Amino acid sequence: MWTRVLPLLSAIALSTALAQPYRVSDATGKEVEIRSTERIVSIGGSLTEILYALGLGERIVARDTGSYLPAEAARKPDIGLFFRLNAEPILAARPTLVIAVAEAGPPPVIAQLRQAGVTVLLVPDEPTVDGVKKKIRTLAAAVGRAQRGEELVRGLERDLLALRSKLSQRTGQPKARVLYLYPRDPRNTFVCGEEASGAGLITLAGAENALKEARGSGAVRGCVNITAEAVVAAKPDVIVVPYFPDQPFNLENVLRLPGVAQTPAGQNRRVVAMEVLYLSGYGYTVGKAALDLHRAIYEGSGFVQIAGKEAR
Amino acid sequence: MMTLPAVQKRLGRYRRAIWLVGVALPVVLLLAAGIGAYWIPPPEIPRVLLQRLEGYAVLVEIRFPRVLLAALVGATLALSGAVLQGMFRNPLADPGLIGVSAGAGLGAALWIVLFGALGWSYLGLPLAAFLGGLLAVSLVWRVAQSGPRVHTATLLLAGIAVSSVSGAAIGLLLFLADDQQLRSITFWTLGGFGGANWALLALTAPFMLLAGAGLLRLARPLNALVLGEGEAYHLGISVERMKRQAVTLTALGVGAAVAAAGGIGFVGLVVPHLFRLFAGPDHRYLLVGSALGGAVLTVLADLVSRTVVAPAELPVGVITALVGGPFFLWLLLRYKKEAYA
Amino acid sequence: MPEAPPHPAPQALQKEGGAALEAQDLGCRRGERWLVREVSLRLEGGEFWALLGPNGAGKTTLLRLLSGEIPPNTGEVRLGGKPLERYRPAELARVRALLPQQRELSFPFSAYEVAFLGRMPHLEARAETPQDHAAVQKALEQTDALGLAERLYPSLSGGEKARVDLARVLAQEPAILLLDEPTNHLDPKHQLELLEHCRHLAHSGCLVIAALHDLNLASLFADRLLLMKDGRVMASGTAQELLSPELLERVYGVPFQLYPHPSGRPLALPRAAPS
Repeated sequence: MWTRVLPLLSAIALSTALAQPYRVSDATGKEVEIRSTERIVSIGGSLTEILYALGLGERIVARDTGSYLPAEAARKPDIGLFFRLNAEPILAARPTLVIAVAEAGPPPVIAQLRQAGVTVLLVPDEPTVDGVKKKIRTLAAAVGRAQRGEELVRGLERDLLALRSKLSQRTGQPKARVLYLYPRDPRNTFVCGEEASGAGLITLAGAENALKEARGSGAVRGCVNITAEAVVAAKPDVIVVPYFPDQPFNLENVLRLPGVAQTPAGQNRRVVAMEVLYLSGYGYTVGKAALDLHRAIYEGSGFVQIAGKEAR
Repeated sequence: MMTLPAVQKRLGRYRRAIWLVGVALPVVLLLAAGIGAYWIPPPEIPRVLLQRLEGYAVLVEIRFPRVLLAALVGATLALSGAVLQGMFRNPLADPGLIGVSAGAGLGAALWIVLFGALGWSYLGLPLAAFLGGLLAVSLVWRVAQSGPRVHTATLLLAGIAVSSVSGAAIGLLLFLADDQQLRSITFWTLGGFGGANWALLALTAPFMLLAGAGLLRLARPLNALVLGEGEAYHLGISVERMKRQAVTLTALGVGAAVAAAGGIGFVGLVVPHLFRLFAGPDHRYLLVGSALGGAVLTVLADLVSRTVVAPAELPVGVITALVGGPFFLWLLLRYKKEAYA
Repeated sequence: MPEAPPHPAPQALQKEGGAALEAQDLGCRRGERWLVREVSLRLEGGEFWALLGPNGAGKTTLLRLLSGEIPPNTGEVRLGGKPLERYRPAELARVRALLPQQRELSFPFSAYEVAFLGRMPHLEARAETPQDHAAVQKALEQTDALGLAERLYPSLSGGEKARVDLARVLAQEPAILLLDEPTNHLDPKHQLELLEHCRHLAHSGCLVIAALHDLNLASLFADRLLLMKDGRVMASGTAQELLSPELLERVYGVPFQLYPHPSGRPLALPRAAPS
């Protein structure tokens, strides 16, 4: 309860105080004082999207490799992968503020940035709808755009409402079994269970993760390499695959992954390929994403490709 | 004249060992075909197969090709290991020594980085690995060649050098790779039989079978080579031709095995040693015994890999090393007095 | 089971003109250094030759050239009138055997398995028969190594290894036997037995060539001596013809004194001041 109310209160309080600095609590619960938002390095795809939506795109001076949406973001200097950061390229962008997802690292690099006098805000990043709201509000408060932040949250709630009405129409009908498949190489069927952050959108979209209970074995929770036989035993009706905008996607290769051909989804070629950031980024568009996925699963047929929010 | 009792005894040991692995292989194959993450009670299996009941596709399209691939790869690696140990006259030789595994790894890593983890063409990756392995071996061979002869010690050193350069190149690719590719390369290097299907088997099995048939014929020359290359020549062996055959055939066989299953360590090094410890070093029995033993060990390791944490699976190489390593040490301690007195 | 001929190789060779080795202007070079040069000789079956000379005289290289193991830089070696390189290694191995100086085994074969390797050239095109095992056992008996059969070769002493190796080359049943310092590591009893056996083989039709260091054993057992120095053949002939203090001093670089032996063959010892 308090986790929802506190940021809201502080956001309102901060939006009334127009003068900097802003104070927000970060992912570790620690209060961070933000003195300048002139030059921002944004690390985390969903954060960069939110910053653009808040109207701060102009102030972003560098971004991580995963921050390729919107298209303007992809033109900013790339400082590398969020989990393999280096202090120097970040400092070379002369940021006044580094905004990063909580998992960004390695931790010594974060410490180096702080020692260099840069304010680093690790944004809370829970893979839930409430987590997204908290993320939007924390970011909005940190950059002094609390009001715009509330507009984004309201937009998210509208999307979720539309989704709920769709879901209520289906009450009593069986849920589709969906396998979240993460293609790596032809030999491995890498999948994500219910509790894996990337696969949460499936449940949100009103489907059932096919690995909730697998025949003859325990449930799969995180992301793991499973045997072809377990893929068959999971009996998915639909397969959801993330795709990367910079890499070619080939449906046939997904259908040829070990075990896939022997499932109902494989036989009916029911595959939904969704842009990875849209599918598992938990950005402010998570409501739209869940709605899109719901339609693809229950109203689509055959192969469905869902592009990122950018295209719409 | 009566054959010496001592000779009879030794011969008996060889025959018992061959008989043991020969019986173990079909038993292990049946066991592996009967158990899997998709549970079908073993007594039901014949009925499922005959009447094409639910689970038929799992057995025929997934489990059977996987078990067969594991058996073939295991046999090829162990047989190649035994041949290379004999050819290099070095018990530490393993099938990767002539550069084939590292070259295949480089081929695969290059493919993944160039064409992406998602954009792989279905048979492109194994093909890239196979070609990488063959290229590495031919480079090693050229380095070691002087005139009509190939210097074995140079071959060994060139193999080590090409392997480490390939390793460094893989390291560079790992550095250049993105998160996706990084994980793909790592998974590939660990090895496994998850990708087995009839198409992959049809592509790689002919090379492994061809190599196997050719390598088994080298038993006699390898026995002579135990005395040294000069002595082998005096005993009527065309040493250079034999080395060329051994290297070409192991490169083809191991190249195909690595292309099909990635790097599966330990089998090629240890299985021949196990046979020597249990039976003896005569290559006429050692080669057959190693091939059978390698198949048994690898099929068992794969069975463990796909059932012990089902529905997930462990990399096979991890199991072969975890189970085989300590077992090998125990054998060494137990038999060292007898075998290496 | 078909009866295997006891000595198939020499008989096959008889048709091609006997177990005669001919070398013509033989030379072998390592870099700039000639290990063997301008060696021409003709060696016939029925004789036991001793190859003598100081260290580095080229004895081992000459044996390896005569065996075909290393190709010469000049000249050629003919066996039964046909150049060695025109024989397949297996054909050659059925006719000649070489006992090397150094012995190391890469894997722990038993002594019997090592001796049995001698049968390999004969098993190129046929399966092994009890006669093959009989030949190996006979060879092991001849070298007093039958008792070692069960032992692992690496666990044998130097002399025991030497006897097992000798049994191996005898089991090969060659018409031409090349031995590189075969008496090394052997005690006097086994040295005598070995040389007697060599003489016996030679007198039953084989050509035996042994590089030896002991002038006196060579004098007592060999039919003919070949003296080498700096890669060249200095002289060849019987012990009576060859062993003169002058020639020996020229070859070995130390003064020698000759002593009579009851057999009539001379003994030669380097002249040394007694302590």
